[in-house]
Amino acid sequence: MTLVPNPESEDPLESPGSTLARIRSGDAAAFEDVFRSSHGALVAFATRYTGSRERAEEMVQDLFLDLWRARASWEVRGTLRSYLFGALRNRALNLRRRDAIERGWTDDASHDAVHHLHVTPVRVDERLIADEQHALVEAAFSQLPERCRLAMHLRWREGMQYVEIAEVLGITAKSVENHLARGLKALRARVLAP
Amino acid sequence: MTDPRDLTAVRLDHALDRMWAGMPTREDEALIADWVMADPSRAALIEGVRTAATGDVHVTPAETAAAWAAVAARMEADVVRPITSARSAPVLPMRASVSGSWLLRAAALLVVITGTATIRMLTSRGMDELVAPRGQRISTSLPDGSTLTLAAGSRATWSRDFGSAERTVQLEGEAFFSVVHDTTRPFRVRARHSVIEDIGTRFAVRAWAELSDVEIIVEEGRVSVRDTSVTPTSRATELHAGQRGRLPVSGPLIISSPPADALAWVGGTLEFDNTPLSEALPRLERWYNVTIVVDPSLTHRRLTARFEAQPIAQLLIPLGIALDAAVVQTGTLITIVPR
Repeated sequence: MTLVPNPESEDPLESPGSTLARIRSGDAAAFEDVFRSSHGALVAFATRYTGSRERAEEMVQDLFLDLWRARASWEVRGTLRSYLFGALRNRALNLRRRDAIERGWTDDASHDAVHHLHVTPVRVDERLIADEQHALVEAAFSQLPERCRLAMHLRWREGMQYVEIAEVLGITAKSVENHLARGLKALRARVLAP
Repeated sequence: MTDPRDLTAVRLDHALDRMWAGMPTREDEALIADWVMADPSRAALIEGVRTAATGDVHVTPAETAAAWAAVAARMEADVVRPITSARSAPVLPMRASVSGSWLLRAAALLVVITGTATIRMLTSRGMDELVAPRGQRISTSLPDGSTLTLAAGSRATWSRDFGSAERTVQLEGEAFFSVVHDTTRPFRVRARHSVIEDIGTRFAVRAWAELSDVEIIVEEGRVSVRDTSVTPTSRATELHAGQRGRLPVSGPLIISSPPADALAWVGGTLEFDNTPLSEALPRLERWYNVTIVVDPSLTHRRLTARFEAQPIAQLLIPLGIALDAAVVQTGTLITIVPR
């Protein structure tokens, strides 16, 4: 007896080959699978850049719409998951860059759309300000370099391996490891100091 | 020599890292448990660090479902990109929003735009037909995942069993194709006296009645072009990315480079570069769904202009300046006369 793997049981984010082939040929159901299995994680990640859940949601939806439009030429190296996080990161960085260029136009109301995407720094959640301990942790965390914070997010929220985080952030696996080690050390020194 | 306290701390860091990444060893768990037991307030602290690092964004399945519905609606709306709403004179907003819905593969497919114009995908004689009325351009996906964008006033038809053996689109007017290449199922566009076959590519075909030539512009990849008016089996000529081919009736293919932004219309910009009025005016008429009458003394003039999502009213003055003529609009009739 031969066991035939059930294609439906495969995680679309882990097996890009067949999923991508289906999407390229216009299979909206395959595309929906990818969306559903990654939406929450991508929104959480994009919120790191935008500081706003709403804007993050918008960014993720725009990303998927663009992927669908260009599906015929969609190529993925590595896992689909690291591709999606990486594409989202590029988008966030582009918006930030554009925002920097257009910062001088603040008086022009027609650029609302751009300013809407203005990236605000990670803020201390107001609910928690009362709690000194949390405020301390947040403050310590927000002082870490951004790449370090993003690596921590991908590692501890998504459970990614160093290699995958490296693909998303466009750095080496070794620097991912260094970022995490230095970040934890800094947090420990400020917060967890034994 | 390393301070043993540092060593313990580094081990703890690694343990926390692996725990939060969801892959702790038994040793990690023991180490963390001991450390927390020594000072129970540490439990809240490490939880605080984890929360800070991972964020407190929680997306519920219902929120994901709603987000998908929003994306799916935009994917569908994407199929139709109206340039103007037809019949709304005198000012035609170029980017009217889409309202309505589309039903894929219904017996007759009907897309309603802003209540004034309809685009129909007819299915008769085993053929599907997509028409972009004057004043509108339309994008659609073909059953094989290739996409086509029809310029205003164009029509494309294909067989209902498109893709099963070969993929042929019959075109009247102008269209941009982005083809999913498949050597086993050639993708062909038949337009007037030409057949264009894709060799992995994005290309545009212009086959308007007012032009003597069929024009092919290759953006990416290659196509082969064959003249069907001479003999059905005449030799094919290849066109490469960045080339424009013009195929006269009974003549060889003339290869040149296309004018810059020759494909700008696909993205919603109408571009003229020293274009004879005999060619420019029919394009403007189709694009804006207007009728343009020009004084015979001006027909030899040429037009260089770029129109980007302007309503027609805003086009009249630049058009007048570009042609050094007076341009008068009466409803959907535009008259161009000497100053």
